Amino acid sequence: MTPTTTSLLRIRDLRLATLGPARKELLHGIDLDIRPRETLCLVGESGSGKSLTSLAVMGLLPPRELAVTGGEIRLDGEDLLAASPRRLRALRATRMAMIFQEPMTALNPLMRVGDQLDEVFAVHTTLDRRERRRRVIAALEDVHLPDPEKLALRFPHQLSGGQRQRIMIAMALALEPKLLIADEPTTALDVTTQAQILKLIEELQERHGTAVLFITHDMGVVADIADRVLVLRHGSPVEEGETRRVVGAPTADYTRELLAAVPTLDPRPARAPSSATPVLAVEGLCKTFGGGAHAVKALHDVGFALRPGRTLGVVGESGSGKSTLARCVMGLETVSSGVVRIDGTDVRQLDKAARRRHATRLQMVFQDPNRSLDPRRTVLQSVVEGALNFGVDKRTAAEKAAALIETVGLPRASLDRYPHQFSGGQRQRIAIARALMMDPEVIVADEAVSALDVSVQAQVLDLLMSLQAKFGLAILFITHDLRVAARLCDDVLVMRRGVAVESGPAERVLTRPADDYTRRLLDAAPGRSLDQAARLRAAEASIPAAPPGP
Amino acid sequence: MSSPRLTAPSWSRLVRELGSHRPHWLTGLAIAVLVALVLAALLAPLLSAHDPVTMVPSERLRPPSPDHLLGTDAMGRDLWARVLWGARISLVVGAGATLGAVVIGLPLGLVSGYFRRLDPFVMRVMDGLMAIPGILLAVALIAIVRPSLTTVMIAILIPEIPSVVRLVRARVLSAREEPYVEAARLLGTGGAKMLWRHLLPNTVAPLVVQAAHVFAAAILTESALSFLGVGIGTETPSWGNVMADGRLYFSIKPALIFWPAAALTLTILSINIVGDALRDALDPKTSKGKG
Repeated sequence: MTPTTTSLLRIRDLRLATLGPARKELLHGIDLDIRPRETLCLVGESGSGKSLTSLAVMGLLPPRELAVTGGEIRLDGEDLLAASPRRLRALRATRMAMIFQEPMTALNPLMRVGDQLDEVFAVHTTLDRRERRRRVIAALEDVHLPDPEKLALRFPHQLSGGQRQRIMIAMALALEPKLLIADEPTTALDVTTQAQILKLIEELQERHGTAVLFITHDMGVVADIADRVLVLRHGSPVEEGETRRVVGAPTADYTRELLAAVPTLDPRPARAPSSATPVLAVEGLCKTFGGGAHAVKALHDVGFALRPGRTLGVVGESGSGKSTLARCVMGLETVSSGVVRIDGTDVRQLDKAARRRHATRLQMVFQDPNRSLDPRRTVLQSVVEGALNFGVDKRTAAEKAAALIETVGLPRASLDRYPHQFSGGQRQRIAIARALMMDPEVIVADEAVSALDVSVQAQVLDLLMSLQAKFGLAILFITHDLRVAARLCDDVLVMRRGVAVESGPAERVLTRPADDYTRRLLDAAPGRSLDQAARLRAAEASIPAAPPGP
Repeated sequence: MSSPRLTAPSWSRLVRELGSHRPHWLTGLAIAVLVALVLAALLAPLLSAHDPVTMVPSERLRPPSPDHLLGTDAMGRDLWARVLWGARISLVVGAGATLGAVVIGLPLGLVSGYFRRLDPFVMRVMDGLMAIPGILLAVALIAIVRPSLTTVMIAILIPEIPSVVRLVRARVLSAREEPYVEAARLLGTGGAKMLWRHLLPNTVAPLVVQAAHVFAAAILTESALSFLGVGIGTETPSWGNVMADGRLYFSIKPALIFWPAAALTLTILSINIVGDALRDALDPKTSKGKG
C-alpha cells in the first residue's frame, strides 16, 4: 500500500531469535515503512518486541545473545543488516539517532552536558572548536533550553528529567539525522513535562524533516502524535494503519482490547456519599526531611477523611509528596506534625502493643511487584506472615491464605511457589492477598498499577473494585495517572509540592477543576482524542446488541 | 486439597540455586583438589608409613625413594608424611577460624545493620581491628598467651571478623530498604523475626562467598605464623614450619620448600576458584536469569 520507493526506513519480514542452546524466535516477521517527515508509532505491551525492532534497526542488539535470523532492514535504500560495524557507527550519528526512556543513564554523569554535545560534533565532523561551540549553543536553543551558555556547563544531575531528555534530543538531532528512534522517551516523565517533550519532538520533526519511529506502550500518546500505528503482540504485527482509523475503528480484536483497557478521563459516577465515621482521617499533616538550610518540606498541612467503602485518589506529579503522604499514613515515616486517626483514634496515643495491632488495620500495596515480595520465601510464607505474627495457628492461616489466593484470582497451587515464578500482575495479586490476610479496613495502594501493562492494569483495577465491594474496604489510591484515578476513585486530592491544591468528588475535580494546576494536569494527559473515539465506539456499540470487548 | 505446606524452609531455594548450576571445568577441578585434600588429611596415618615427627639421624636428606616418596628432611623425617600431616593443621585452622569469624561476625553484622543505635559502637570496634595489620595482631595475641592450636586459631580469626561484619551489615542496610521488608513491618513483623525471616536469608549468599575467602586467608596466615616460628609449636608439622625447616637447606634440597609450598598454593588457588564460582552461582543476576 505504501510505495516503497519513497519510504525512508523499510523493514521486511524481520525475524530475530535468541542465541544459545534454547533458541527462541522473538520477532516473527515484522514489516514496516516510514516515509520522511512521518511519525510511526510502534505500540504494544511488554514482550511485544517493539524495543527489539528498534535495536535491530540501530544495530545495537546484544551480540552474543540475540541475532537477526531473517528479513531485511533498509535505511534510504542501504541494507543495514549487511553494513559493517564501522559503517553502522557512522550511520548511527548522521542518518539515524535514538533517544531512550531514562536520559540519566544515557548521559555521562561526569561530563558537562555541553561537552557531551560537543563530542558528537568532534567525532563525526571536521568542524573547529569555535564552530563546534556555536553549533552546541544552537542545538541547545533548538530544544528550547533556557540560557544555553550557562546550561552547557551543567552536569546531568543538575538538570531536571525533562531538561535531560531535551539534551538527549539535542544530541540525537545534532547531525540532522533522517530517522529518529524514540524508545519510550516520555515514560519516566511527569505528564506536563511529557506534553512539552512530545510537542518539542513534533516541532523539530517539522523543522528538520525527520522521520520518527516512536515506541510506546501508551495508547494516549499514540493518539496524540502518530501519523500511522503498528500494533505488535508477542513479536508479531497485529494491525497497521492510519492513526485515526486504528484508534477510531480498529479491526483486530487485540487492538480493540488494548484501547478498551485504557481508562477514560471521564470519571465514573461516585457512589452515594457516606455519612459513616471516617475510618482514616488525617489533619494538618506536615513532614519535613532534614533540617536547617537543607530542610525539605515534603508535606505541608495536608488533610483528608476516608470513609468505609470509598476510594480516595491522591494525584500529582513526582515530588508532589503523594508517596510521602502514603508512607506517613502507614507509619513508615514519622510525621513532623499533624494527626493520623484510624477509626477515630489518634495512633500516637496508643501504647506500643496496641499500636502494633492497630497499624495492621491499614495495609499497603506497593508499586514494584518485583520487590515487594521476599524472593526467598514462598507465596504462602509471604501471605500468612502477618497472621502468624498475631498468633493465628499455622493451619488456620494456611486455609485462609488458600481461600484468599483464590479470591484474588490465582490457583491454590500458587501458594507453594516462589515470587519469581509469577508475572508482574500476578505478583500484585499476591501482594493484595497478603494485605487482605490482615482483614484491613483500609488499603493504601502506592502507584500499585503503574508498573503493569494496560490490559493487566485494567484487571488489577477491576479486582480492587470487586474486593472493595466484597469487604467494604476503604482505598487510598496514590497515582500519577489521572485516567486510573478517574476510573477508580470517588474523591480526588490533587497534590503539588507537598500541598493539597484541590480536593473533592472525582466527578467535579476531573471535569470542572477549580485550580489552575489541576487544569494543567488534565490538559497534559495524553490521548484526549482517544476519549472521543471511545465515546463514539460506545455509542455505535449501543445501537447493535453486541457490547464492546470484555 | 490438604492445606498447603508451611514448613518449606527459606533456605531450600538457596540449596536449589547451588544445585542447578553447572560448574565450569576449572571449578570442578578445584573442588576435586579440595576433596582430595580433605581425604588426604583425614587418612594421613594410613597414607604414609612414617611418623611425621620421629627423627632418624641416619636417614638425613635422603632423595625420593619408594620408602620415602618425597625424600627426608635434615632431621631424617619423611617429607611426604610431614606435608600430609601439615594439611590437617591447615584445614583445621582454616575451618575453625572461618567458623569462628562467621559465628561472631554474622550476629554482630545483623545487629549493627538492623538496630541502628548499636551500629556506631560495633563499627568503631571493627574499625579499630581493621587498623591493625592482621598478622601483627595475631603475633601479638600469641605472644600474650601460650601458642596452641586453639590460641592460633583465635589469633587468626579475630582479624577476619571485621570483613564478615561489614559485609553482613552492608547487606542488611540495603535489604532493609526493600519494599518487602517494609511490607513485613506493616504486617507486624519486628526485631528478631524480621532478621530471621527476611534479612538473614538474603545475606547468606554473599556470606558463603566471603567465608571461602576467609578460609583461604586463614590458611595463609597460619602458614605465615608457623614460618615465622610464632605459630603452632614445631612438634606439630604444618606447611609453614615445614617450609621454615627447609629454608636452611634450600640450596642443596629445594624440594623441602617446594612440596609444602606447592600444597599451600594449590589449596589457596582451589579455594579461591570455588569461592568465585559460588559468587557466580548465587548471584541472581549471573545465574540463569533472563539475561
